[in-house]
Amino acid sequence: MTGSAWRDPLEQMDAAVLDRSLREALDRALGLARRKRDDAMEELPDPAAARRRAAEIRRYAVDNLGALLRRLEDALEAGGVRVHWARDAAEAVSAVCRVAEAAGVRTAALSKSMVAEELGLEKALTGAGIEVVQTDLGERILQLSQDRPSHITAPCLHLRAEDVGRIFERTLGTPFSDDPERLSRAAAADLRPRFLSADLGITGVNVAVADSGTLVIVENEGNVRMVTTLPRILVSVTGIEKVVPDRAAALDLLQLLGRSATGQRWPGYITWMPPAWPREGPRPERHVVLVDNGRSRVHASGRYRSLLWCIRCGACMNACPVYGRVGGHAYGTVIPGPVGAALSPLLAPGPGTARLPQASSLCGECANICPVMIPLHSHLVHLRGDPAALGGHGGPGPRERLSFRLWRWFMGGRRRYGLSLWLHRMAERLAPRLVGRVAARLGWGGLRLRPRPAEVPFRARWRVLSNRPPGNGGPP
Amino acid sequence: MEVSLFIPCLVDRFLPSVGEAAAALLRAGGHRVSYDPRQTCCGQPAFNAGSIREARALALRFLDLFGDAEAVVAPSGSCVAMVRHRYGELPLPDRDLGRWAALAPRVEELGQFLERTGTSPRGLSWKGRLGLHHSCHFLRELDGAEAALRRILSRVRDLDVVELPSASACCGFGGTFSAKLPGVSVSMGSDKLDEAEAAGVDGLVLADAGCLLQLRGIQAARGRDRPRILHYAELLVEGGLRP
Repeated sequence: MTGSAWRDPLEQMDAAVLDRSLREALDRALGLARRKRDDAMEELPDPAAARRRAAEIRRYAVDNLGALLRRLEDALEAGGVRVHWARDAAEAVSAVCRVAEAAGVRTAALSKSMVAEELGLEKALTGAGIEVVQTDLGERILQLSQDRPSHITAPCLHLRAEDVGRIFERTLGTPFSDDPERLSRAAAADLRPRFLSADLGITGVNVAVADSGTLVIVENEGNVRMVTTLPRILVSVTGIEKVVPDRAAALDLLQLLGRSATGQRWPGYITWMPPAWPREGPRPERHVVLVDNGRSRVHASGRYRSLLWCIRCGACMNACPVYGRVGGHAYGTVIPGPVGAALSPLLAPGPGTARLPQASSLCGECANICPVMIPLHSHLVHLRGDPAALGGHGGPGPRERLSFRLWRWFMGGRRRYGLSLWLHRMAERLAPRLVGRVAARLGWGGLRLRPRPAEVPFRARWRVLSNRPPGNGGPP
Repeated sequence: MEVSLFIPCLVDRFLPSVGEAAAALLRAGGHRVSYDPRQTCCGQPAFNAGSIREARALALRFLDLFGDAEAVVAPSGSCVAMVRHRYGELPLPDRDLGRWAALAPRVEELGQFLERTGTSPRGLSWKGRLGLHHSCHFLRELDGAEAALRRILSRVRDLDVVELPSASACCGFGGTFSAKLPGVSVSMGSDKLDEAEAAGVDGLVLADAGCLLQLRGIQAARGRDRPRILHYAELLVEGGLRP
């Protein structure tokens, strides 16, 4: 949510659903992701128990956040890693910029990080005169095309191979190709020299192990290995919620993270970065930035606290029928999909995010697939009626409030209810066009016709039914 | 058993034959069925839209009307899920929580009730190929409801159940969702219908009034009438249910 005029995300979504090439890209990627995830989860001896254990780990960690973070800080500092606490994005960005400035950094290599996206880190560093290169293939494509991620694990999910081919043709000058193999080789050739010359490496964090100060980062391309070992300065940025007590807990989560995100038993590369890193060779100067940026508010809310359990696997996006039709950009937030629709308005309250909880049919597939069992659709429905949690934004608008007050009156008694049935029938009989116009404004017209009230509602039919003798459809 | 019929507002207003079918199934199973005409709505539309106060008022009304019932049975998964699971989250006033906790387990989805009491219909026959649409709350919030329905359908002769790949994908109704994101909502329902049409099924069967209105509405706009979209209770009555 930048300073530019916000656009209603719901309108964005209803527009995005018409984009055929987007839908094609989404269908291709998400159908596969879902099948692979299901297969990988079914392989586990007891998938339900694994999810329960992961949920328990996250519940414990988030409930004991303060103590675990202190332990993490102690372990990191004891190992010579500088810890910076950042209350908001501005503090986090300035911590990283100060480190870069003090060390005279001219170039930075960034590995994929949703927190870096959340902070706008790339832009801030570039603004400070530092040349930043994204080293994750997907993020690099977006950097070259000045685009934004549309998914948290597959940032350019909205692009097809031919789209990427055109971007590379335009920006890297490589001959057009839509062969993923050839495209990734072209990107690697362009990236390699930049890696070798970067002064500053920046990573995100998937799991922070409190007792040893080990930061765990997962990936599939090998770029994290390079970002964490080649530059002379290494900064890791993480949301404060990523901490777990110990290595065993981290392993339990990682095993579900890979399966839920990409259907892999384990992510391709898992980098366990203890404070003394790398184990051999020259060691970079290390910093960790612990970012709050609204998280402690979610923590304090109590009711929505389990949103902090999220391990950013993206499975809820892959499963969501809304996300699967509109993609990530329409949400207008860093994290899209069900978890983004619930978390973003809490982390960044405002008119632009307040309506996001409406972007769900409440089908519950997100909660059903979540590896840490966050009751996502329950959060979404509660947020709709909880403007206080959204900083005063959101909640039903005046017209909707009035409608539901009226509705409650009609539903509040037998006669009033009967009157509503009668009025509805009369309106359809006497002024069907008017009813049609009202219904069409509510989306029930054109591509979907409104239902008509039955001439004889059930309650009237019951009077007939219940008077029928037994054995004839009547009561025995 | 003494069964209190709970006919959701959408069924009463738009789909009375689903209510009649539910009553007929219960009677055929030997239950004594009553219907309290004071009932209106469980409050789900308001709850889903974030109008919590209005939802709570109707939840309390529901508890007043049904609190003493031996069994409350409804032909709609989402309304049952609302009463069983969501009332406790509204939250209700403390003094009503006990009443709700006592009532909630006695509120059951029709097919689940029939299976649990061993009173599902036997000897029915419905000739044709049938696709299933697993209504969301029926599938995900009522443990065992889908299995119960499958058992009931498996006893219907001549019925050929075709497994549709996205049987458990949402139809896109979602109450006020259908009005707030009409484009996305219709797209979800359209995909559902496309899949059923492509599979060449004669009927698409489901377990919730909302899905029925959504899919019939889109089908009507297309000017088509195949496959027939049916609540499973309607299908069972068509299958030759005898009281």
